[in-house]
Amino acid sequence: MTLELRRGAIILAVLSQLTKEHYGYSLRERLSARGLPVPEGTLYPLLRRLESLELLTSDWRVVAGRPRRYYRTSHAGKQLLKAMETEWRVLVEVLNGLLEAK
Amino acid sequence: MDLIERYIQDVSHRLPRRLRGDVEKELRSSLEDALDAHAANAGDGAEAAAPDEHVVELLRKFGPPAQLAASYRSGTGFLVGPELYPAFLKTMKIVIIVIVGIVVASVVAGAIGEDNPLFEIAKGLVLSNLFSEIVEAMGWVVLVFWIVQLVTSSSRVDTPNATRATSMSWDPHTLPRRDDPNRIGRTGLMVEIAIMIALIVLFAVFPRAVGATVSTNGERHWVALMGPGFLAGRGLLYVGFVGTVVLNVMLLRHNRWTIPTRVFDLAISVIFIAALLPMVTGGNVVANAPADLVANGWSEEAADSLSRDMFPFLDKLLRGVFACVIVGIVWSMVTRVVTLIRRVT
Repeated sequence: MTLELRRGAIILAVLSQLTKEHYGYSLRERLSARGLPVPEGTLYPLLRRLESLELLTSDWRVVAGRPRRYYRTSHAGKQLLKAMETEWRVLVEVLNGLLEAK
Repeated sequence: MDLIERYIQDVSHRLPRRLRGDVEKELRSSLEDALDAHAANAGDGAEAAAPDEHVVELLRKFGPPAQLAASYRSGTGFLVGPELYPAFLKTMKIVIIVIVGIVVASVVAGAIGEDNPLFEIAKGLVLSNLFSEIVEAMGWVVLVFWIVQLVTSSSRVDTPNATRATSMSWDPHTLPRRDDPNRIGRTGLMVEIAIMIALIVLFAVFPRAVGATVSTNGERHWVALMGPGFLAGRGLLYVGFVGTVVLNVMLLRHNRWTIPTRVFDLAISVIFIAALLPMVTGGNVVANAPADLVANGWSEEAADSLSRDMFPFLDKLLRGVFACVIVGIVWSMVTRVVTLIRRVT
């Protein structure tokens, strides 16, 4: 069950961080530095899935001799991010109340 | 770096072709970024001391190739998962080749006796049914793999701890080597074991199940293809089937081809040739005796007509198929002997 909870939260975190573009490894480092380490085997396939849902856009660039795929939250992704953010804040508030009153 | 390329290749091999190029490129770039970051953090000395250990640790974090490939395939409800996907593709290709081969053999056999009225029937039958036969066979292959998928996936427990445990207990050194002639495909071997057992059961318990519904003289009944000539020679086939099961179990235990298993494999091929040769050169393979046909519901006239017109044709066809199989086995033996000599020298 904690896996399910984390899965939704990771999508929200990824969409929020990709409002500025990142390639896979730099995004992982950023999430990790902010306290949300995401396993490599989860993050890269997730980026691919979000892109196939048109929530992210991506393009390949060669930087320092290495091809890298840069991702950015798309227009649809930003709309979803807004909706998820509102939902998240409401949920956090409600659940905090519930957990404190248990 | 060899381990990394082996890992990328193994993951890619389990993905649909359209995803492969992109995933390979991104995976390689991400792994190299992670290695560079580790080298920068650890300092050149530490990196140089145990580069392989770090690669192993990194690959464990990415997880076993089947697990990573599964994550790349959107949705979870696929019929054939990444673990079975390579074996599934191989089986599908073999099935299509075998069906097309049989159809071509039928037309050729018919063409040899073009004055035979059966030629037109055979040609029409095989051509009109080719598409539906391929679709039906593909359906069966998907069904079998789906069942294997259900059985194997239901035994797994999907919890974070279990996933982490799988990743950590997985040893990247077991990744298949690129272009390794001694490499084995574990899933393929297991599927082959299942097929051999199914064939033993089919030939021993349900020999009449292999056949076709035939119409003649306004009658329509089931005719078993494996007649007494075939059934009499099946003893050696069983030895071949059991030998193949034993060989595959040995390969699964050793995880690669060795000289003794290669020799054993050649011996099994000789057994299959010895089993099939009498069927090509000897008595009736199909041969349903008229009395048997009458016992199975045919009228005497229809049984006579089948024995006179249909069976000699089917017999010739089946012998042709067996002869082709023998040529295939001999050819494959020649290539395997060459491989074996290269291994020894």
